[in-house]
Amino acid sequence: MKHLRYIIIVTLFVNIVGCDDYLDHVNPNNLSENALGQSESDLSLLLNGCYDGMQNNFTNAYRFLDCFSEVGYGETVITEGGGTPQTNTYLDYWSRSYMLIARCNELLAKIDDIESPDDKIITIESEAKFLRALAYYYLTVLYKDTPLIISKQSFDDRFVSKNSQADIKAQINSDLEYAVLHLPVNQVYPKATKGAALALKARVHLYFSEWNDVLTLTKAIIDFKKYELFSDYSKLFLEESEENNESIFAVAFESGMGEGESFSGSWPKQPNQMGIRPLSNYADAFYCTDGLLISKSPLYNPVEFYNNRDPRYEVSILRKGEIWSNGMPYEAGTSVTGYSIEKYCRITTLYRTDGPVDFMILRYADVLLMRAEALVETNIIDEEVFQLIDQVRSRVGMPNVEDVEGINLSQAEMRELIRHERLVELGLEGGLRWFDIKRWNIVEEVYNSITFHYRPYLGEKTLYWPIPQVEIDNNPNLEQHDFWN
Amino acid sequence: MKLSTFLLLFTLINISAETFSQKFSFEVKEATIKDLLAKIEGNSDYKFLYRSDLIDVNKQITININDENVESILGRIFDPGNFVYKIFDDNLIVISKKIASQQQSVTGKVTDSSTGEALAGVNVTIEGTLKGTITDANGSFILQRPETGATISFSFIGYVTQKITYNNEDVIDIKLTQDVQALEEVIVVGYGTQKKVNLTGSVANVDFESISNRPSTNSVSALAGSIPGLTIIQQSGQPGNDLASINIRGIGSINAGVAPLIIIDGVTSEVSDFANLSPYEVKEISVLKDAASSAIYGSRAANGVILVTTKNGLESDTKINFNAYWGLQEATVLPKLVDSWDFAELQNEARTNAGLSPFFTDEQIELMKNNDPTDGFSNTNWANEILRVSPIQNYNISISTGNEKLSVYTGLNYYNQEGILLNSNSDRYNLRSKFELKLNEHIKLGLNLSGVSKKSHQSAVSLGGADYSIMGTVYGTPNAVPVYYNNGNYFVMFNDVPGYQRIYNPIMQAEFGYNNGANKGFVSTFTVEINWKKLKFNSLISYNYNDALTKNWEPRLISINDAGETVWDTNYAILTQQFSNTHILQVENYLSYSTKFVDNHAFSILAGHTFLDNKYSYFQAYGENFPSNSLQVLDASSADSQRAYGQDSYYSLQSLFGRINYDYKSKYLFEINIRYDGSSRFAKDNRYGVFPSFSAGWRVSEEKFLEGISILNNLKIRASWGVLGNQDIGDNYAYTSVYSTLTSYLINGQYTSGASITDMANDKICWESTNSLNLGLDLALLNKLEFTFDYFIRNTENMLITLPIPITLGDLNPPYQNIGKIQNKGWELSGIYRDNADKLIYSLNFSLSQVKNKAIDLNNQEWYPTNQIIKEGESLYSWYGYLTDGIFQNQEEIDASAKQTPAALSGDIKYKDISGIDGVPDGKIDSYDRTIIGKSFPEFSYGFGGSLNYRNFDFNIFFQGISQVDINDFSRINQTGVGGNPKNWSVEWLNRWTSENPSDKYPRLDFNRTVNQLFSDYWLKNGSYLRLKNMEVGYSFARNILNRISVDNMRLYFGGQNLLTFTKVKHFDPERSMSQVRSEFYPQLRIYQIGLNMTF
Repeated sequence: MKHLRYIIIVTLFVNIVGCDDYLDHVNPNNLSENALGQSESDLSLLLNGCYDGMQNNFTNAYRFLDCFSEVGYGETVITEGGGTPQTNTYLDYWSRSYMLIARCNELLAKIDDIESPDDKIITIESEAKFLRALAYYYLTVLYKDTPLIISKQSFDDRFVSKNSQADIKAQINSDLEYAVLHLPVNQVYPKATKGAALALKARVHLYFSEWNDVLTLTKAIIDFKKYELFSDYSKLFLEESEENNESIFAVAFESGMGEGESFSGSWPKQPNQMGIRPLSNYADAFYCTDGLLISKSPLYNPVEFYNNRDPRYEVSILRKGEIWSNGMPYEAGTSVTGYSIEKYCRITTLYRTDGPVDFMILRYADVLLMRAEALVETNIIDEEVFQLIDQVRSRVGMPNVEDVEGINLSQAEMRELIRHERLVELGLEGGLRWFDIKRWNIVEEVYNSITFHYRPYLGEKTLYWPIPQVEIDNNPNLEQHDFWN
Repeated sequence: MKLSTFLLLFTLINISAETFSQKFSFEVKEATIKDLLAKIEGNSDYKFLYRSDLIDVNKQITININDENVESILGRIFDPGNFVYKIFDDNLIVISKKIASQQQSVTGKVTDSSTGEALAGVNVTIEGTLKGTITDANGSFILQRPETGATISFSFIGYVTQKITYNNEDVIDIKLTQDVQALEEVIVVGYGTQKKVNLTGSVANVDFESISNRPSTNSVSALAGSIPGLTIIQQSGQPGNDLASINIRGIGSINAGVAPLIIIDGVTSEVSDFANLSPYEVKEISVLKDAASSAIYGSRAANGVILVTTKNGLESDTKINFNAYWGLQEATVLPKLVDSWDFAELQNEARTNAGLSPFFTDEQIELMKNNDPTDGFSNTNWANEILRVSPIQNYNISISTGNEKLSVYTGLNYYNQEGILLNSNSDRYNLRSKFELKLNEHIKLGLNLSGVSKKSHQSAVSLGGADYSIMGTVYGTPNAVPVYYNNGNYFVMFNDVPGYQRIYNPIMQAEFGYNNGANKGFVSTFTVEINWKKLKFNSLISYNYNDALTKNWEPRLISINDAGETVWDTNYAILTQQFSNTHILQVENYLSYSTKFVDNHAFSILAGHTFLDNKYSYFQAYGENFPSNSLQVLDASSADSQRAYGQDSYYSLQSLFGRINYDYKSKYLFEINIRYDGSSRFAKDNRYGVFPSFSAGWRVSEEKFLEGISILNNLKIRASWGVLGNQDIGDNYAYTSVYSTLTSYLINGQYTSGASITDMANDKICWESTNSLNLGLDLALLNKLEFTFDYFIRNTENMLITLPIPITLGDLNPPYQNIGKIQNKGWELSGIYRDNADKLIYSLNFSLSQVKNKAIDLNNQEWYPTNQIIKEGESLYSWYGYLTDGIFQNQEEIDASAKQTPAALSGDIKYKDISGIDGVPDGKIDSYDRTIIGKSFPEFSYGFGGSLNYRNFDFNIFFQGISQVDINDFSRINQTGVGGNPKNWSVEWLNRWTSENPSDKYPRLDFNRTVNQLFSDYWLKNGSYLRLKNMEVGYSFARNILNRISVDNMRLYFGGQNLLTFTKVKHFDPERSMSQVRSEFYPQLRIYQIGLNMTF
């Protein structure tokens, strides 16, 4: 048996010969495509993915939108006239919005295949439609005509072309109508509710100056009696006040679990600026406590300019000398405009880029002012208008309109009043002012009023953003806007 | 070495020619030799020394001496054939028996067997040892005397190597016959070895011995320039993180890997495994460049194969090798930046030009000029603060031993590199042990064990290649910034410069925490070889384990200025630890058979199976908020900040392979290779691929019609064609679409998992295939000159590409598709000339290659990586941007030119209007005016060098270069003055455009004006360079000195790397990887070294 050991050596090796099973592996890290079905729990997973997609938009990007109105200074490449289709800002908003849309479409495609969906599934469907409408609203306001994609796309469908703003608007309305119809009035925070759908729909109609729709929708929200103004404006934008009755729809954030935002953190001497600084146009717009402009009010002191001002001034803006984190006074030197953002900022350096503060996309004060504006624009200047504005003003202790201006105000005067109120109430909240001045057709006028820096008005190139060059490059069916060519 | 031998050698060296005057006359009868010697001692000053056990001094002799000197007497007493004696100056006479090593050396002469002409430069070596010499101009040689029975080998280019068994001769005369069979060199090929003359593929071979002394920081970069068609680019000089990139014959793929397959001693390995070998443990490498030579590795061979063979034990004698070097490193080139006061002026100008208030006051600029950092402004040279001259060292010892049954090699290497950048270093230990046991005449078992442990250390801030990396800030942070406040804190904020952003202090970054890496690798291979008649069976099983552990510590750092204000606070410390490991199991069995029919027909066949299983696992742990900077463990972090991540990944490969060789009279050569590969990276239906190759060779010089041409030693024409595969897309599961579950949201304050598709997948994907055609010619002339020429076309089809997809699909990562075709076409030429003149032996070599790559078909798509384009008909990764036409000098010129947006100002870069939406110039500058403006891949690469030996001196020099390449000097883009990033200016910006200085070279500075930053040919530079890559001067000590200290060989050398560079690139080193878009990388190194090679 001398050779036995050699035979063993040889067979030991030869026997380790493979078979095809060796090559079958399953991805251990992710759910495979067919792993998710149409059960409510699977659909909820996908819905959470949609909400997550919305987070990307609001973690900091919408802060920059305030740079496009007189609220803030920043994004100078674009606001000083140097934007090109290759400018990254244009790409950021585009890709984040379409990411959210695709996730919603994926979920909606799964629901479409269900023969008789139950109420819970219909709620999920409505939430997805709400989120899709939200994304398209921002897209069309920013880019005007963009591809309208409302079904799950396969790889072969990828070369889409542009749709008109009218088509997009119709889709937003149809999605929101469905959401209004099917969303429950109450949902676990921060999921979309019927009120959120109504408020978003009102905002869409407001953008297109469809006043009667705004009136109907805002009335419905008010009639819920669910929402009310939060008593303390100075605490409204703090983490501790989240889930308040004024908040109609908010994006949720939390520190320390990969779900944070980056807009609220602070450095030792100043808040995170995210590349935007408030302009004096905005700062000077805040009335004195007597309800008069600083140019008119006897209470105004150019040296101690911050005294006797609308309390929203201190909440929104950090001015030189104001105490900030570590008990250190804010030095205006760190801001070219002399001001920093304070609204939504935390006086702490902890979790600077991983903040916990929820961002309110829709809140009740906005609804009240939308209604007031719609009333004025339809020339119904009655007591309700005054009462709507006064609700917002009195919350911060500002005098009633009647007490300052009297009651015999023209439509134009009321319009000015409301527009001003929207600026001081809603400034620094995701570019609402930018959307406002666009729909009011006063962008040129506003830009001309900005003296801090060169702010050219380039017509439609200022009003509407170009389709990102990379999209034009990679999609033969997509054409750049004429006015950008 | 026995002491007696040593003494003997010692004595024999000092043969003197002195004549002996003293004469003797006497007669002895029947006396012993001992008595006779005593008698001489009694009558003179002579003393005799001998070993009575070796010399029979009691032998009776009778002798009559008449006026003879001692030499003559001894000559009569002893038989000169058996005894030798030596008379020293002090009249001591040593007598010893003539044994094999009695005479230290053997002499001889080598001549051509047919002409009788003396052959110079013939290698004479004692096999199994490192002893050897080379014949001089007269063909004669002196060789250290080998032991009886040793084999002496005589080899010379163009001649048949002759081996003789040493039989104790003093003089050996050898006649070498011209090798009509040409070179007998055997080189390693896939699953075997082959005679070089019989190769039909394109295989290059490097004897690592010749380059192992290079002070290269890893084994891969040591190879740079030595093989035509092999492009090796060192990516940076960063210790422990300087992996060089390797390409063979261009870029063969866009998305899949472009690095060749590395096989170390039969084991599938990574480029990093090769890099981590000690250069001293590598014996040789073979580079398989074409399909013929590499098709046997099938699906992984599309980018070529590098076979690495490590050193073996000896079958006799024990040899110890010791190699050491120590060197100093410095940066090859540093940026020349403006002085701080000039910086301030430029910065102010950029502000003023943008309509903004200047940052610096005149008083502050004055403060910069006095260069007193205590006043808050300085003129700090950051490069000098951060970079230093630092040591590099390597020590290697190896032992080879064995006998007919067992051979053993073991080598230990220690390498240590102190980084030239503050707070960076790396070291590495290698240990390899190899055993080979001949069980009997049929069976051979082998065990090959190797281990490597590598550590690297650096600051927690990335060292180069980004805006806020350390090198980024060395180039960018203004030199007006002092290093420290007067209180010793890091200076991070100007005292009174309103609006000036916080400063990234390079010293603070370099001293900020640490990132420590530790890699360990272990490979264990067991092999069996069974020979039975003409059959040979080989079996290999190997287990390869690698792991990497990193610890990244970012301490809480607070900086307080002299006014007591906290100007910088990271708020909390962060600790991240990562661990990953890879297990690879490889099993291989193959059988080969070779035979000859009727003498003229040689035939061999090989067939085998192999299986590879790869498991990768990774996890990471994270924590922050530590109570103190001195607690640097995760346990100390706050519980709510702790997080963990991890992933697994598997992949397997199973293959059958085979080869058939046939030749007729070694004149007509044919070879077929085939491999059938299956990979787990593809869906079941597309999993297997067949990769064949065919090749043929014709040794024209063997033909009768060339017989009489004696200058022609070898002429061979080769041709090959084959298909190779590539599956190296890094993603083991690319064919399946998956939901990412990382898309979570907070519902009711609770972290709630979500799911969403983040990647688009394509389950139809399969192998990339590369058709490779190679035509080659080998020529050897005059026994001195050799040329190899190859022409090749590599067409890669069905490329695994992730073409960019519209974002409207949902901002998804694009799927792989098998699309398109790219081509690499080129040629390689290399040559070597060896000759000698008297005692001077020299050789010259060169290599030159051209590779042109082109996208042939991309499915009508264009692809835009940052600032680059991949477009049909164009070179891959071509630079893509605007063409420029100088600088606008005045408004008239602006008005006369195409409209720029925003409207151009004097001093702006003038872009050319070359097209528009309709394909014709439309009077405005927009995205349609972008075009291909340069090449990112060098078209030519070349190297040349030589070696020289004169007596005990040797000299080696090697130059390497590339040309026809453009590099993107990105860092200068910040120098247009646009705010945001840290910036400083290099000196030529003193000549920027101003109304007083209407420069046509450098645009105006403007804090807000990004239009001058558009990617254009203005930012491209000719990236060609030629550099003195390596130089080495050595001195080998004379044997007679070495023998006294029991040393066989000792060589001391001085060397250097990157000593000189000729290039148009300024401020940074031109050698950088293609993917490197930033200029501020960790500097490349110039190294000066002193080293020692010893053999015992």
